[in-house]
Amino acid sequence: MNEHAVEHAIEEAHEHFGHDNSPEAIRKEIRRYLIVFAALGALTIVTVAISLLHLPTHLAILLALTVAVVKGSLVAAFFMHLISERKLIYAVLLLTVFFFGMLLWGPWHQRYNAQKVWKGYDLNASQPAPAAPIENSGHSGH
Amino acid sequence: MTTTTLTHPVPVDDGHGHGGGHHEIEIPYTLHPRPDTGMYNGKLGIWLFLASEVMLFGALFSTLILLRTSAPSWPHGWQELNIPLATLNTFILIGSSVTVVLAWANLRLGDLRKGKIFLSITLLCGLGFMVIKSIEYATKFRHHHFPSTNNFFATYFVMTGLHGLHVLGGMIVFGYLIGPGAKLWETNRDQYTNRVEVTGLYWHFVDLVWIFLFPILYLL
Repeated sequence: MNEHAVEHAIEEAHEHFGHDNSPEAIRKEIRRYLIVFAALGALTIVTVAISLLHLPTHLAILLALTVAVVKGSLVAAFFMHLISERKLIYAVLLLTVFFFGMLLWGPWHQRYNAQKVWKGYDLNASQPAPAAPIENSGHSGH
Repeated sequence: MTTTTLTHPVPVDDGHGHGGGHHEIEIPYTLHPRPDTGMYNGKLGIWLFLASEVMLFGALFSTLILLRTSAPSWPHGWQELNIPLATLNTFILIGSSVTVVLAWANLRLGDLRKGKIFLSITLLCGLGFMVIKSIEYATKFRHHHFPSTNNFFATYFVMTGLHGLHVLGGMIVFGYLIGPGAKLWETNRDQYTNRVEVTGLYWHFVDLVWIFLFPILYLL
């Protein structure tokens, strides 16, 4: 990459993904941060209020996680500036989300798989049931 | 290309078997974006670190889900834990996230004094969070609730403990940036501002983890 191209790339990066450092733009940003803070505070109250209703577990989990995802998105989008970030960061995060999903899915998959290979395995029991006797396949050891 | 020069010369091998020659090493892209990544190196570095942190906490969330769904009974967080204190801690952490971005914004406006005031408030928020957390822990210990008591308290102490260590880590960095680290402002304002930005990104992540820990551990 020649010197001119490097300068151009830097200028472009500033223009599209850098932060506008003009006082007006920064003051506008500050106002936005305060609005997000108010929204996060209100959503925290909503989260606690939902818990006070003592809803059925599945509904309570769904609502609590929905509010948490909205709050998390606000923090990530505005405080961490993901709303206007470089593609490379999005690529890193996409990979992270994939592996995070694998972390959640992997153990679950194994657990349900255990039901198939381990007769008598109870998904809802804290202690696994005794293993079923191994069927004699007719092969004796050598 | 924008570079930062180390103030102390570093001994390097001169390639002719005569180690010990003194040259200055330049660290590139500490201020302005690298043309290929579009950002300064510190920013990419902190995002890669945060990606590894997602996996660390992700493993613990996965463990919690498995333990909870496998257990024949699991206590509700609101029966065992102190909701008002945890709610207060949530407000404190959210507030501290705002003060970090306000510090960063004021530094970009060229106002170090205001920047340091907001960083100090952030540090105090972190301290407040840790004090409240220690009160919570002390109460649990008084009631003979330990990590060994059951799986609920094991996950509670491990997850909030690890999160607390992250808060402590952030506080140490903020302490440095307010104190001796602030000298950088006199020689390189932009680099100091960038340091505050990447520390802020870390701090927001710590806030983000708490946003999920709070309902999952305390409210469900």
